[in-house]
Amino acid sequence: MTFLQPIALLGLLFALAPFIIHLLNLLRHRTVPWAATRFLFQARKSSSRLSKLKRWLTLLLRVLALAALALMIARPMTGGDSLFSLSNGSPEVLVLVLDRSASMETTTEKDSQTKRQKALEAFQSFARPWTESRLVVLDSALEAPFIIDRADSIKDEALQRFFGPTDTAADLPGTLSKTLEWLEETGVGTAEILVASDMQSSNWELERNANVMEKINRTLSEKKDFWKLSFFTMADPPPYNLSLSVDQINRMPNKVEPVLNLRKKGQGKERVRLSTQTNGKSDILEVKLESQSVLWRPVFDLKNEPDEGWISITCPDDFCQYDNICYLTYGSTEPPQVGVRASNPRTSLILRSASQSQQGDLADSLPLSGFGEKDVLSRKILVHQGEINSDVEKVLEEFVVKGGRLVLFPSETKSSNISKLFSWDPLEEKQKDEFFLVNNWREDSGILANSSDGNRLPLDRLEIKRRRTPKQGETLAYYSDGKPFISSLTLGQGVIYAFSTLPIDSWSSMSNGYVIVPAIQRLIEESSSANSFVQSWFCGEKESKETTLFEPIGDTKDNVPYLHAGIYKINGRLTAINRPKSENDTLFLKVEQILGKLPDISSRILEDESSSGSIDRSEVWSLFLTLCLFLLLGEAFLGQPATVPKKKASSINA
Amino acid sequence: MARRRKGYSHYIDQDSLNRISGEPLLTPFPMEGSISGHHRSPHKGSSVEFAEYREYTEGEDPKRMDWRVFARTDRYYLKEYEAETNLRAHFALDCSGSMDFGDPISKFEFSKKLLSTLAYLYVGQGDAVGLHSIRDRKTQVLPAKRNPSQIQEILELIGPLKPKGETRLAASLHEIAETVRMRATIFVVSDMLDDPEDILDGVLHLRDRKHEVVLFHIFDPQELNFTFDRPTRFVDMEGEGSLITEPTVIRAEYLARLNAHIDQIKTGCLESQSSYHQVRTDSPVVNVIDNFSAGRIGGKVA
Repeated sequence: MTFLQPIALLGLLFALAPFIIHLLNLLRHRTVPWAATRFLFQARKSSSRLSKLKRWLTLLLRVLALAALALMIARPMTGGDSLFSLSNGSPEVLVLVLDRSASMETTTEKDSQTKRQKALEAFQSFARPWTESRLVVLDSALEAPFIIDRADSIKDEALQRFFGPTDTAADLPGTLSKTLEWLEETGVGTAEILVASDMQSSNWELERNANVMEKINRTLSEKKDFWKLSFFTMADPPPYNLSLSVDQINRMPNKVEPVLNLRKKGQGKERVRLSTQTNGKSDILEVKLESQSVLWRPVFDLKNEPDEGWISITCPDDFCQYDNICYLTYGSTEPPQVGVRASNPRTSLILRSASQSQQGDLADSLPLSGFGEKDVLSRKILVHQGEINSDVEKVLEEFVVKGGRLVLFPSETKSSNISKLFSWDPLEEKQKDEFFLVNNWREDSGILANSSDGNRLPLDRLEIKRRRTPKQGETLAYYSDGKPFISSLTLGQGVIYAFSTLPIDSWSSMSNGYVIVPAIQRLIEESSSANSFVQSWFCGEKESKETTLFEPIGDTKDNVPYLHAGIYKINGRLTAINRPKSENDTLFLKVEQILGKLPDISSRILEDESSSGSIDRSEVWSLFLTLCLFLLLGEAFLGQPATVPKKKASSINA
Repeated sequence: MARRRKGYSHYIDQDSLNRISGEPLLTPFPMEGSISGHHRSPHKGSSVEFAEYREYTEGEDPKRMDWRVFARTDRYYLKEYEAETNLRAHFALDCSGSMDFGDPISKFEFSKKLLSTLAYLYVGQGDAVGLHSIRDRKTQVLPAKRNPSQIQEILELIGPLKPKGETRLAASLHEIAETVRMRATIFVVSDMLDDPEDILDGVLHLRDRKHEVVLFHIFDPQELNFTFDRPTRFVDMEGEGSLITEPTVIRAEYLARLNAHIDQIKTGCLESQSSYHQVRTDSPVVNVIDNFSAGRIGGKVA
């Protein structure tokens, strides 16, 4: 049982008033000389037991009636954590931490309500008993507190639109952490926090967010009796779903060949008709789905299309509308200029060959001496091998910061000067017939990703005799001893890729080109789109949030890039904004896994749909009012004087 | 002496005198007096009140023979008349501590008034009055006399009396029964706070001696109503201890007990052909005497 006005429970002290008054009355008795005491003694003797019982019963009834009155004023409610729980009686603030990621738009077979709509409804019924509390919603997309005047207004059209669907991902530990920070900043005493989520694993990333979860656990355990956490979980996966995402865009002259990832949840082979729009012109494509996941490479003919444009591809309707559409933009085909500067001539030749254009032209060779800004002016990709002296370092750093891609190979010397830009460990060599082997690399994305038909790059077949492992950056591929084979480092707007060996026979078998050619060609491909006036972002990511000047293309006038996927013109560039790939994650957490990261707090778990009953609380003050009235009636009954026979009574007054 | 007389004469209620004077207070029982009076005697006498015809027997006084009857019947009859005599009224006044109770007038002061007024009326119609003031240790007796100065004696005696000590009413009634030899009317003025059976034993004893018994049961209105509203410590006026109680709680039981006590005395009086009068100290003495005399018109209890 909980109380909306726990302060009124102080009134329970007043319930003792009848008892205290009784004692005071006994103390302040008056003394009367009396003649007929014999009758008083007789009366007391014969009626003492009954009258004592009556007197104490009357007192008890009065005390209970006042106690019931105090409890009634305290507005008791059914359904609390314990019999008498004061701290969660009437919280100052009720907060809904709303997962507003794209995956919350999933519906079920039972009804057409999305999980997001259910979460809002659940919050409405969660808040209903606490009419005094302030209502605040913090959603994962905006991550800013939004105050609602009353629970019923959640159903208003304006608010439904305000908390409408998004194509963003979510970082729920981050949002929850921000909620706690806000509560702390605003000095909120008591709060009920309801986290409503579909528990998509990618929205929580418990391992990566271990520190954040620990902080949340610490904060909530410090505020144990004041801030309460509840979870409203809706982990039901959809019964059938078809999801679509763009993996890669290959721009050819007069055509574009995107690599689309089609995933199906549900049994059986089927033909799927997809509707497409190319710069606003509709078309239909058909694809045969033979397995759960298909990489599909349709060709869009652009002969009669402008040099730069956009395409959208849409799947038929299913239980998850949000992942049925993907957007892409294509740019001009002008290839980027690649420059190669290598101290080893053999290396230089191999690298220039690997970096050749689609027309078969070798990449430009840059001078070893007199290398300056003029050599990198119009380039997007530089391949560099050898020592990096301070002058070169300055030029290369500026190139990367401005958005260039720099591929570094180590110097042949055993050890080199430590460069501020990038440095390697000293040379390591294997004995004859022994090799350093690569056994692990990022196959899902990046320059070492599997090919569109699913084949892996043969990194594990490389035979490496000599190596100088990079000291910096994020490792993209590992040797079997755990050292990095390739690492990447983001600097300004550009990226540095650093290899640990050279593509010459005395160092490795990389000269065969099976690894180096696709890696560098992918960079060129990626750069070619970056070079054009088209770009592709993910919804809700940093760039999309910072965008202020935008214009939606098509009939989605109200869309904004940080909430909705689509085609936009941003700063004059055609931009495709898609939902983050993490939203395609089909792995859902159990709430126990999250609670496992919050070991010091006790949380309430409200299940989907059927749980609405469990959070349905009701006031029971009327029960106490009835009880109070009955007790007062009982008291009045006991207070009735004993019936004196009429005969006797009249004879006294005769 | 003159000052003192003036000091106690207020006990005689003037209203009562105005109302009752001229109408004798009669007794339903025959009385044996030494002189002629208003009251019926067990003996035949020479009053104007015809009693009966009786056949003449030799040796009787032929003066009372009715010659007219002899002329008609040729037989000798005597015409007899009621003898009328005076009575002796003995007042037994309870002087126990409990009689001190009452506001604005105590039961004892009221009793004094009632007693003095009745005594005055009786002396006024030529009857003898006596007084037994019943105290805790002994009973002070003033023998019955019909001398008008007897009133003064009574006033002198009861005037300075203060009620105190325990009730000794029952024992005193037995004493009176033993000491008063000639038929008399015994007025008992008391609050009767003694064992009712003992009191009734005393009354029966008096009745055995051919006395007429009249009980004036004196009450203060508060005793009959018992209207206290907050816890009270009742201290017994005869030193029987005290008790703290919530009057509202025991009121009903108290009234029931009091009622039973009154009923028992009243029933006992009825059975022994004695008069019982419940008297409240808030009613005027004239009303009490009026009620008393109204029931005795014609020398019979109404």
